[in-house]
Amino acid sequence: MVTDQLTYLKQHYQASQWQGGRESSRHLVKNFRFEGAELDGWTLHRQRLDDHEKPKAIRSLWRHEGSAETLLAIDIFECASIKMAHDQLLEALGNFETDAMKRQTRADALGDVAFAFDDRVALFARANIVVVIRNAGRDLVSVEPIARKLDALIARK
Amino acid sequence: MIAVEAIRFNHDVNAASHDALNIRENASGFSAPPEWRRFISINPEDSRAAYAIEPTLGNAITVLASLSSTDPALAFAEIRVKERVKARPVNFINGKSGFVAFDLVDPPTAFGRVGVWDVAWHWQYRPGPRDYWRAFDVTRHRFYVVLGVPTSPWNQLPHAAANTQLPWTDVLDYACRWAAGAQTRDFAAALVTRAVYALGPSLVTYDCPGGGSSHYSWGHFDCTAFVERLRGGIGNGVYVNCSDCATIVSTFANALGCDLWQSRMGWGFALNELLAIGGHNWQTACGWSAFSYHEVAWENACASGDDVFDACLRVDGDGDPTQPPHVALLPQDLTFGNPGDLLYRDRLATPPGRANCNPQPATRQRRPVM
Repeated sequence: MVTDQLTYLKQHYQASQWQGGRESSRHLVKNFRFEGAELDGWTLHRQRLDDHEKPKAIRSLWRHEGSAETLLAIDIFECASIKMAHDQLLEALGNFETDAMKRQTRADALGDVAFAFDDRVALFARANIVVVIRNAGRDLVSVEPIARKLDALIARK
Repeated sequence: MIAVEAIRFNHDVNAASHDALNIRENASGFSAPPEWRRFISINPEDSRAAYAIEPTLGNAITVLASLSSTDPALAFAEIRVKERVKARPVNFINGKSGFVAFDLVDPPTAFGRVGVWDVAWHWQYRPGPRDYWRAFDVTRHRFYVVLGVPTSPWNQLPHAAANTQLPWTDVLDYACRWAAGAQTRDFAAALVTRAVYALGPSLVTYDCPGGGSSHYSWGHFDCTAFVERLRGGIGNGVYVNCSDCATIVSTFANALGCDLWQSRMGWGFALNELLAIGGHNWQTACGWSAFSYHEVAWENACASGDDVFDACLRVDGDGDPTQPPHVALLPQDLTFGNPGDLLYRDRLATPPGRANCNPQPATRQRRPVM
């Protein structure tokens, strides 16, 4: 990402309040993969490891078992550190055209740092992992329950 | 009996001035020439060749054909494809000719237009110049014609299975149809832009639910998924954003020999009302007041004086883009412009927003295809 856009995003999303964080004693998650049974009611349609990217990314598409038009795109970025995960979170925010992503600050918010767009997009960093969950089909669902499940899964790793 | 054993349309992988371009089917499919093989190639799509107009201009285009004869008494014959391939004498040694060069008559590039054609070649022979021509074989082929050698992300070398950036016939199948008839790069890019916008709302629509995020172009261009979507499959889903549209337009247009980039403008600018891809209502994008950034297919240095092709949205093309009534204008070869020019920038951004809607040529890129 170019410096100008990064500067804009840091300011717009008040990155100084959350970026960097503290390196916790919690171990970093390595080699995250979906097995396909993680999300009840959803079938893993496709999973692809993009290791040409930095950080490496897992791109996955999930189909709801009840509707072919209900799809979720779940991207997982595996970073080398917590700080780099926060940098990646900012990078991810730079791939949304809207500037209306909202930081989630409630006590029960996802991950270490989280953003959302209504309940249709969840974007959060947990330790060194960044998760982006979006609707990809015409029939929309709330991504929050899925995000909570994945957050818990990553926290257990 | 005489038969065609194999045909090579791309017989010089280091040049495209007398033969076909280096191509592959898609990210996983690669076949080395000969493009046509006896008993294997049946339908036109089994034997594909792409020709570029510009480098072949004024040159004879040749194909290499290997023939066989089961008639031990036939050592020599004239061979041709009526109205397609010039007649030439062919020697058979132990029933085989080996690869011999034939000049094309009115090659696919002769019309000077982008297109894709399925052809049937009716092969004929005659033992001597006073004999009648006799039919002996029919071969079927698909020919793509592009304006110039495809530009980045596409490349021509190395001509090897590992090079996934060789032009894909999966892409040419669409790009050559979308831009059929185009004789200039600008016209071809404009037609591609129009075709991509017209994919909405049936195949794709702007990602309002997801805040306008990239579904096909985050990192590399997931062209495989996009082609799957074009063919009626799931792909990466129904939603696209500006980066996706810019990447699709520039990648497909560049396969035709255009020279477009994906480049951004920004940062954080208020919008006039517009018609997003797949949408029917004039509104600021999805009702949001502003874009954090916007990305388009852009020419040259991707600066104010350069032209953009935006398949993501239609702007108001009348004398006052800041308020109704609106006249829908798809930005095709429209100069970006400076505030007050009433060009692309003024049509996209509100008067106060224009100061933040600046070309960001440092973001200029051509995402690799995957």
